[in-house]
Amino acid sequence: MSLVLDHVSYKYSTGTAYEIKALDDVSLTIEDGEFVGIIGHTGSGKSTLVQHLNGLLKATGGRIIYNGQDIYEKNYDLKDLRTQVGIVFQYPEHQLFGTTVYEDVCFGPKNQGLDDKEVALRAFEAIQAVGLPEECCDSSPFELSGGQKRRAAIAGVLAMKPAVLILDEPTAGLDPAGRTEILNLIKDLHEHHGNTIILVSHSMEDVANYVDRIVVMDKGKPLYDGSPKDVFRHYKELELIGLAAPEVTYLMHDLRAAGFPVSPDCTTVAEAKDEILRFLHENLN
Amino acid sequence: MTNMIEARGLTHEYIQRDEEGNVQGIQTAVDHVDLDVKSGQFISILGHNGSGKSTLAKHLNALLSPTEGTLYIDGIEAGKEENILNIRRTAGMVFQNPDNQIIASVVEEDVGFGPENIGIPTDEIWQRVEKSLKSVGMWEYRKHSPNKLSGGQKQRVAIAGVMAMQPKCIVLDEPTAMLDPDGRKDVIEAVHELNRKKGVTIILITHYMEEVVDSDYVYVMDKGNVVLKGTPREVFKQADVLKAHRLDVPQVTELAYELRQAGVPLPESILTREEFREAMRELWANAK
Amino acid sequence: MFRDITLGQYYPADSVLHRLDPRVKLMGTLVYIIALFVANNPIAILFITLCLIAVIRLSKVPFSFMVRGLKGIVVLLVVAGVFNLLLTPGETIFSFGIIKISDQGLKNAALMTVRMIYLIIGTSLMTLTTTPNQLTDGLERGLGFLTKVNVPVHEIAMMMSIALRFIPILIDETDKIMKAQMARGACFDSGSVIDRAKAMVPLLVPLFVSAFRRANDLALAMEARCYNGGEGRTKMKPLHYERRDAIAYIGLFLFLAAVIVMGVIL
Repeated sequence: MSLVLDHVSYKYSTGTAYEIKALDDVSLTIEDGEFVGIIGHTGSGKSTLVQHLNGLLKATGGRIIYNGQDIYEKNYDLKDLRTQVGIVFQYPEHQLFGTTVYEDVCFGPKNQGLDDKEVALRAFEAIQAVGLPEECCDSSPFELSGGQKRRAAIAGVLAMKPAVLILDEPTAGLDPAGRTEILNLIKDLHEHHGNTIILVSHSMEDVANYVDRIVVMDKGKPLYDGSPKDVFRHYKELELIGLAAPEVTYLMHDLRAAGFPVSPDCTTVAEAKDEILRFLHENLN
Repeated sequence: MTNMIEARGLTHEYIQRDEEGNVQGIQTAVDHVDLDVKSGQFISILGHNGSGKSTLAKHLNALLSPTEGTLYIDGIEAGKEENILNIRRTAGMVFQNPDNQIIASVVEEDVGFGPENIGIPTDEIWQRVEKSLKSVGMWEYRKHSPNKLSGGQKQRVAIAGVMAMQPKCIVLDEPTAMLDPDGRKDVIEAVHELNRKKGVTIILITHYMEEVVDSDYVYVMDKGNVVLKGTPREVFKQADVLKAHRLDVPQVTELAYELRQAGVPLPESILTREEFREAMRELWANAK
Repeated sequence: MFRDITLGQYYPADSVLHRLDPRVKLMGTLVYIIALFVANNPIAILFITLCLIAVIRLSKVPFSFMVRGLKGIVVLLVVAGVFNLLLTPGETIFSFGIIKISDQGLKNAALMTVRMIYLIIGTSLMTLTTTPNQLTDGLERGLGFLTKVNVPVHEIAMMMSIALRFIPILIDETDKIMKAQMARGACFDSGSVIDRAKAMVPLLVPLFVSAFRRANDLALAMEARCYNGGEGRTKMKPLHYERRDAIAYIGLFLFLAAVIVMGVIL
């Protein structure tokens, strides 16, 4: 059970002088239950990449294999794939249209052709899973606050019970507490509902705090692929492509340069705290 | 230094009415706020979504008038019909969504839009457009279509559009909320440069903590009230208070705070990596 | 799928035609349309053809760009041509069963087809050499006299230019919403007509909401920059007539006169 990209390429405006390689020979395997972060500069191909994973964009070259089946095969059911690989787009609240939150969340499961009882069940489960209060079900999605709207939109995708959940910049525009709440919600989905999560993000801090594996995209290609520690070791190379490491990683490098032999491999505040405490205890009693 | 903005007990209420015009409910978005901004200062207003900071910002540009209290912009009294245009020429405003504030299909024409509105002669419009675009580093893009620019570039064009009206003060309402980190950095740098080189008073409204570190003074708002104010150092000292108001502190400050909680005697207000490093050196020297 | 639509299909080049005042080009298009309908004999049409070729050469726009506009109306051309051919009464010159073609029919069909093709080429030539902004500016100034009868010319021109600015943004937005709904299993291209109409709701509602939000934002942003309607506004790029514009006007006058004379004499 996995999602495999096999030499996938995607070109815009082929045959003209403006040909753009949005994806350039990408090979990647995402295993079941992984929590993967995809980072990259605007235009690095990360959004194009994730839109391939549920067949919204069709690669101009290469194969995508989901659970052992080539999704470009003739009789492959793309609609079914889209319910198994759910995408929450950037500013997902802009897709809300229902007169009530409940109606909107039902849209996905209804399209799946489920019976009314199952649709209702899934809608309530999804609304509960994103932590919206029950009384929100009957309110218009346009009356909710910004953070609640986003939850409602995420519920709309969750209601299809996708095994893989892709989120494109799910925290854009939210305040710090709103960002943490959404990220914790995603973490919860990963830990308790067993979803495979692919998180596309600009924020190195968020990625470092939550994911197990980072794929760095640059010019349509994965440049690095590994644990946050491994990837952020390349912070100098990351800067060259318009990215950076989390602030604490820089701080640890600074401290090392200033003569404190701490490990610079910390990518979160908690890790940095433990490392500095360890160092102080060992050397100062 | 003169006062650019002076608010006393500034209050704004949104009144909801039913179909017959009876008052159904009153929502106080800004609640007795006092604000003092000196000419040439760089001020930040922090607050979570829905804290009233945007409503406050719209008063500074006379897009809203106070329900109660007084507000003076460069000595001009807000809330009076005849002062509206004067206030808008004194305090320009940049909004959150870069797409929804660019009017023209060519960069230079958009920057010329403000001066056109206030009846500046053609020759001078061209001079102002050139100056403003150069001041935000977008002069090379003057013939471009805004649709082809990145978010950060569009936002700098919007700032140039405001600069071309030669305001004394610019209010930026979450100008970076929709941008990527690169765009955010460029916009904030451009704003600081206008403040330093042209002496423009800046009011930056944001919920990105890192953007606030270099301001002269910070106001933190919640539920329409100012709940915390001071220099960035004074404000970031109170990590727990900020968190209670749905905000945060920069990672370095957070780390120092956490270590202090664990008993490491670091000073209270570390904002930058350099300060952290120096604090560690001092700690080390004292311990030895 | 929406990326293929080209609007305000301006072709950037440095030619006399590009530099002409937009008012001249608008007037020129009008004169050209009148001439097309006045011309009713082969010599006049030949004369117009020569003038058209000359202007196209002057414009430095590749001919293929003009023809693009024709693709959309091929069906219309064929249908109208066939109707004219078959239904015009006159002396029969060819008959096959119930199908009768008259000399008048043949003439009408040929003339009509030529007029339509030339109309499209001529108007494309104007939009290809004039930026949308110049066009609205030209309309605003050219129709300025209408303000005297209370037509809000400035406001209409402003609306046009804002529409031109936002069309690509809304097209992009439609694309995004469509993808988002497709990711939730929506289908926009199958089912009965009613199904398809129903499927548009999840697309149109968010699109309208977004358009209103943008309109609201934009209105605030314009107000914040002291926009107060057309009164007291100055222009960054005011329109000035140059010598070439005067020459163009004289050329237009001569062109129209020639076509009329040919129509009367021949």
